Amino acid sequence: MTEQEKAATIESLKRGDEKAFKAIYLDTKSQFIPWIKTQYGLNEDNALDLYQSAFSVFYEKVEGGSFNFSQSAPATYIIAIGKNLALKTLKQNSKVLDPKELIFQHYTQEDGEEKKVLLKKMLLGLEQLKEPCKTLLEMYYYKKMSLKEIGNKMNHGNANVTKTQKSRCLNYLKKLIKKDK
Amino acid sequence: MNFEENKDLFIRGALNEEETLKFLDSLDKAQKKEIEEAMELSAAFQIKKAESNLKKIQQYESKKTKVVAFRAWAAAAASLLLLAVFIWISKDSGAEKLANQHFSPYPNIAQPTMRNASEAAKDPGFLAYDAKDYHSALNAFNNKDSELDTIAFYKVNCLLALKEPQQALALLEMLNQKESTAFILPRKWLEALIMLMNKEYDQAIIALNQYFASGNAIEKQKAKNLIKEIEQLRP
Repeated sequence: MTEQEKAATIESLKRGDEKAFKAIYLDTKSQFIPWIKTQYGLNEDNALDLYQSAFSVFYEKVEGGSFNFSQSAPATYIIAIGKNLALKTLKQNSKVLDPKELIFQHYTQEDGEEKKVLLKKMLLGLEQLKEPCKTLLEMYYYKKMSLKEIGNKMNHGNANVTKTQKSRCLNYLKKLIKKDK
Repeated sequence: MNFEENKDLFIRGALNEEETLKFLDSLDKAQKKEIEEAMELSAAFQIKKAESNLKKIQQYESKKTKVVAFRAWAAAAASLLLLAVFIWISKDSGAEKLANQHFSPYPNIAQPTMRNASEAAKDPGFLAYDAKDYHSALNAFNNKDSELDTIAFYKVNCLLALKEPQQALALLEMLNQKESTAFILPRKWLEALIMLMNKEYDQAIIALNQYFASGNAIEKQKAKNLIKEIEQLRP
């Protein structure tokens, strides 16, 4: 990919263009896989699992608006995450990698065991959460939309209805988490 | 501005550095807990998003998957040949053996071992479970409130590890009847394995199809593989 193509791809990534994600995925993969295999003695399957986990994190950061393109190039960021995950995996002596577990490890690397357990329970709770609660909580806690914006999207009429609905959904999620205890 | 308004702005990252520090300093214990919960929920959504991105990304590998699938097919064909010979030699034990190959006790996420935490504080059932002493774990779980869905689920795992599939099935049915939401997907997998042990191949495949429908890419692949193996095994 030329520098010009890279710049154009970054603009497309910012717009959430799936084709741009795929282009970056394939371009970075050709650098990452041979390098990580040689560097850490990984087999093809494990190298791919690591790469896909690292790329999923990058994808989430771009989608969630927290990736700063001026601070880091996508490839540099993806390779750094992949390297970090590889180091952790080697420390744990894992022979088979679970990409979901790798992703979890990335997001919880600073957390204590207690918080990790709580997050696992939250993830189970979110899996069981039904609509419209799932979308509402996602808009508030992930997309960082205001109650007014959520109310408009969900045709609630006014922000107070959204606020009440959000509290109900949160309580329902807490019940689901407790149920699994 | 009151706590609720500030909380909204904080969660949305709309406070500047100074306002953030001022807001965090002003929190009482209950408010602090509320903010921590909100941050944890944000983190859980980030993880969930990244997990769902993984599914999209795996589709980028379609060509490779085909090559892998071909290799897997060739390997499966070779395995099938071996399996056919194996079935011919020991027709009766095939289903049970296949189920056992695909069974491993579900990891203890209810009371996992924590760094620096005292083991004494841990439930004896889970202590034994972690030590793979399923007999003692089952005894300890039997002394607990059997209404707890999590305990019932881990009892199912103990019973299967102790080769007691019928008792395990009864417990799974109890959880299904009360429409328990605990460990729905892993329960479906165990149900399929028990059906397989009972040589109820159709029921096993139905359970695996349900597992396939709700699982992630890896779980779907796991279900597909086992269905294939069952199809090869059934008369």
